[in-house]
Amino acid sequence: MVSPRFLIGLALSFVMLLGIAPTVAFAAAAGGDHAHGDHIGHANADKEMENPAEIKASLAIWSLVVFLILMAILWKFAWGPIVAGLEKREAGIAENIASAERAAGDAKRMIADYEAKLAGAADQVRAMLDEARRDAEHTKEEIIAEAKSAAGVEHERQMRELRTATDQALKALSETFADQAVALAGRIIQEKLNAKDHDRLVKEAVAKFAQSPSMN
Amino acid sequence: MASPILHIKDSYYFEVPAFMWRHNYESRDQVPEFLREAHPHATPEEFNKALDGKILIPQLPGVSLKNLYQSDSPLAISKFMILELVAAAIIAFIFIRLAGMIRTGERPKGKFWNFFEAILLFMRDEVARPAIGKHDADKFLPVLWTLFFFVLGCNLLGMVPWAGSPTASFSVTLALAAVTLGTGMICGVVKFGPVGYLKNQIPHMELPFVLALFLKPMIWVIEVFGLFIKHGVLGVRLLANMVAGHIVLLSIMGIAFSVEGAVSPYWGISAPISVFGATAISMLELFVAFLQAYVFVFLSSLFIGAAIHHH
Repeated sequence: MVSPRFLIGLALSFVMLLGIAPTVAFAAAAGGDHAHGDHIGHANADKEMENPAEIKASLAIWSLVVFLILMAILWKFAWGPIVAGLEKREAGIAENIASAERAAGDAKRMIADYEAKLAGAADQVRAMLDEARRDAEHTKEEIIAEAKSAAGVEHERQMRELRTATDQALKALSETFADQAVALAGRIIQEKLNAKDHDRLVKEAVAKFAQSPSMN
Repeated sequence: MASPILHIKDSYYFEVPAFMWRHNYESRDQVPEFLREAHPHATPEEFNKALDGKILIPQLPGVSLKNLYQSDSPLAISKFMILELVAAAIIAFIFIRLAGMIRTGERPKGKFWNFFEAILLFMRDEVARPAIGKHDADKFLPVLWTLFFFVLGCNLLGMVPWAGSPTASFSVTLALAAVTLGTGMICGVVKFGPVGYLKNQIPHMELPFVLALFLKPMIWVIEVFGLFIKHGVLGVRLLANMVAGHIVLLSIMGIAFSVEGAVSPYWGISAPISVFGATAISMLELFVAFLQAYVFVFLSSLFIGAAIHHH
């Protein structure tokens, strides 16, 4: 796709050509009319005029002078400050790189520090947890032991009371039983035994009863 | 028709399209004296016709011209002298402003300024330092930078309508080559002493004494010739490139402007083709302007490097 600007440029240059060409042709034709073929402005020419390799001392010296003055001006006002500026910039960039590297090193060290600290913290937490677990275990065992001993004591007490109660009951029972037996035996024996035999028999029976251990 | 060489040579007038600069001499007395004397029989109308579009450069009092292209006076002000001043002024303006921007170590802002800074850095890092050596190169940067931009400016002025290339004249290119030669010589002499500099022209060779006695003087003569030839060629190369480019442009535009062409029925075809061709060659010329400035400075760096180092 040809851009419109290009087309306009082309059209303009063509129009210019159309405008100029007849002038050129006319001028050339007019020039041709000259009697001696002598162009105005070309008179007195020596053979150097059309020599493309001509060296004009005045232009050469002028060129040298212009160049040297330009160089002197630029040296003072442009190249010097530019070189200084470039060096300053290069130094600045080098400094920036160095400080960035320093910062990166610092950051790396800090990360290592924090990682170590984190690892330490985890260890600490583990230790704390372990300790807590140990404490808890210990407390649990203490409580259990206490409970066990308390239960044992209670049990003991209850057993003692039970034994006491049993003994009392047995005693009461044996007394009642003896009385009943005596009464019963009395009634049976009243008919066959006298009082002497009666007492002896009772005493023997009671002694035997008291000797026998509790069976409860 | 005058020789086309005259279009690219230095002259004492600027040429613009005829309608832009009309001369209205009514009597011969108004015509500049050197023209009157040269053409005693020409009428004012003939002068007007011949000089339309030619802006004569005012000359200092007492300076006389032989014709529009030649003068016997060394003080005559020519077109290339003015164009060199223009190039120098533009260069000075640009780089003094650029220096103001980056002297503090800041970076320049904008494409325009970065373009010039990029060229400066390229010249320093890719041309001067490899050719001269990092240690010495920076001392020569002002010369090389000025050379590059002065040559470039003069080359590019050839692409400006109605201006011209001062670098299409040997007077300019050889003067610039002399700057390179002079820089190398002065710095070589400062570094090695006059005798050392001259001895340094002989490449180092392991030769038996008897052979060296004969060969070395001859080699020295060849090398010294070579030194001048190298620097001369520096000027010739630049001139040849500029002249060749302008002649090609002239020839191609000549197709459109020739008298025979303008009256022929095929002009409608040949003229657009020649405009196309001239546009394309102009692009090439733009490239050549940069390329030759680069080549000039690159070779200058090599020559300076050779002058201040042992062979």
